[in-house]
Amino acid sequence: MNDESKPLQFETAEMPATGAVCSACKQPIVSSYFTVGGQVACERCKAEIELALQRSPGGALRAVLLGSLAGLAGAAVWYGVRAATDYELGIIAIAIGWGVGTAVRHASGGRGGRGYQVLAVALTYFWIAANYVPDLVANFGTQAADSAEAEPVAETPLAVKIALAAVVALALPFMQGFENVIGILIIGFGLYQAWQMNRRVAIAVEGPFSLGQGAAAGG
Amino acid sequence: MADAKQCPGCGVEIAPRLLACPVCRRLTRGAELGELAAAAEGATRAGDLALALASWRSALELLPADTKQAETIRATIASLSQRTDATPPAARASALPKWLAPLGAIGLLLWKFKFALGFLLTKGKLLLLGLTKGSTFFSMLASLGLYWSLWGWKFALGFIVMLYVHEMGHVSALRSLGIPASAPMFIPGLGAFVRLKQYPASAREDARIGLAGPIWGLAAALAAYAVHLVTGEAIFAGIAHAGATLNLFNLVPVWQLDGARGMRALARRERGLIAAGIAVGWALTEQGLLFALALVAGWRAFERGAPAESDRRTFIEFAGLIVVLAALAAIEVPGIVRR
Repeated sequence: MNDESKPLQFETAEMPATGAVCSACKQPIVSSYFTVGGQVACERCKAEIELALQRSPGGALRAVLLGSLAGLAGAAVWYGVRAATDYELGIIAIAIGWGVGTAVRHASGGRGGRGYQVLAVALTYFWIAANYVPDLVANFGTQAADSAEAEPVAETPLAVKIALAAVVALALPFMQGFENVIGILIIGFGLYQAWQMNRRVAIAVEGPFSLGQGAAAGG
Repeated sequence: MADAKQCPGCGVEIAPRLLACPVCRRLTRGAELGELAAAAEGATRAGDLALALASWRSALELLPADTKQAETIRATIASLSQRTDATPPAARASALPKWLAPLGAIGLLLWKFKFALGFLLTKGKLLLLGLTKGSTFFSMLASLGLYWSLWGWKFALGFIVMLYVHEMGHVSALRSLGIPASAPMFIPGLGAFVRLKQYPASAREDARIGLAGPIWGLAAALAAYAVHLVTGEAIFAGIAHAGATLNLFNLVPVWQLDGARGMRALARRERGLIAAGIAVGWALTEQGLLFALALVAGWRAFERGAPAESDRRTFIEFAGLIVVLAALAAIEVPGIVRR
């Protein structure tokens, strides 16, 4: 079994005997206790935790705003790395998922939920795709120049180019077929990260449980 | 109110989630703990380390973390876990039987072949058993459907096999360490995962579990490439390339990827050596994935909190995987022009 000479006993937990103590404020509990996420808590701490859990979250608009800022930063980094090194570092998709996930979770007051999960995933995919927009816009420009040699046409406004590029970018990861196997998986990891970070936090609160005469006996 | 029990020792109400009475510290699952300890001791005597580890790990879940008993069990787990390295299942009872001894070298060859066959059959059995889980099989079919629509059935099937073998590598390592885990689950478009029901007890265990996936994945990719060499079918080269790239990507030491788990057991010096090796590989082959690997591994080499001592086996496995996978990922696939 174990190397200790004394055999293990499973009657009593061998730990400092402190009596019933709240695991949050460390104060002794006298008459009754609660459990919060499996930890012993006094009535006051339990009420404070419940109040914090009920506080209204920041709202979806704030989540969209913060998530978009994080996604924009990630997309800019991805584009910047590609422009500087000519390497496609798909792993940045996970960083975007993490950044957007963190921002949306922050906006939800740390509580998450299905709506925030869907929003985080949608924003992550949008900003992953958005990193290709500058390349696509530049590509439109090249194509327009090529066709202008044959037949002069009115130049497409930049806003229209960007809108068109954004639509194409959303489909781009799935348009490269065979060669983007890993790329699709990495995007999947990024989306999974954003989803996971916004799972609803459920903390079980149970009690009150009577300490009866035991508290005094235990200290 | 939740269903509370009364402590037989002091009469206090014990909340259902508590593992010990908050006042007199009487353990609420004492009987189960005794049975688990007995099972673990019996398994240790019988040499079944996986069962012993699984029993001790289950016992740990029934004890408050800050007890002396939990501390002792954690030490026992660490010691047993170390022994799984020293005596891998294939090496146990590997002595040449007396009746084969007179045959000399031929006898030895036959015995080795028997072990190789036994090894393949054991791993093959595990691979087949994994498919009997409904969640694995049906989620695999759903993923196959998606990949089929993107890349055609031949490549989709090969890619699914690569993912499955990779995951079963993790399952195999988890089983030998007695860590309970879910069956592999596929998520269409996102790959596949195995959910651990307990945390590994050490960075060394985490590294064993993490690197087992790429090791099995490498074997699957090599097998696909061997089929390509024998048959000349380009699709198998494509599958081998995708499998190697998938496993190489998993070695990027960041996030929840396998490389991050492997790197936990490496000291800064070994992390630096790996980063430098990858950088050399990148300079020679110009593979973008090696660039990312070198970048992240280099960053991890400067990370505070790295262990002072490296786990030697992890270092060898990590370095070996990168070399072979990078070579396999660089193979030419007929019909695909590499940028």
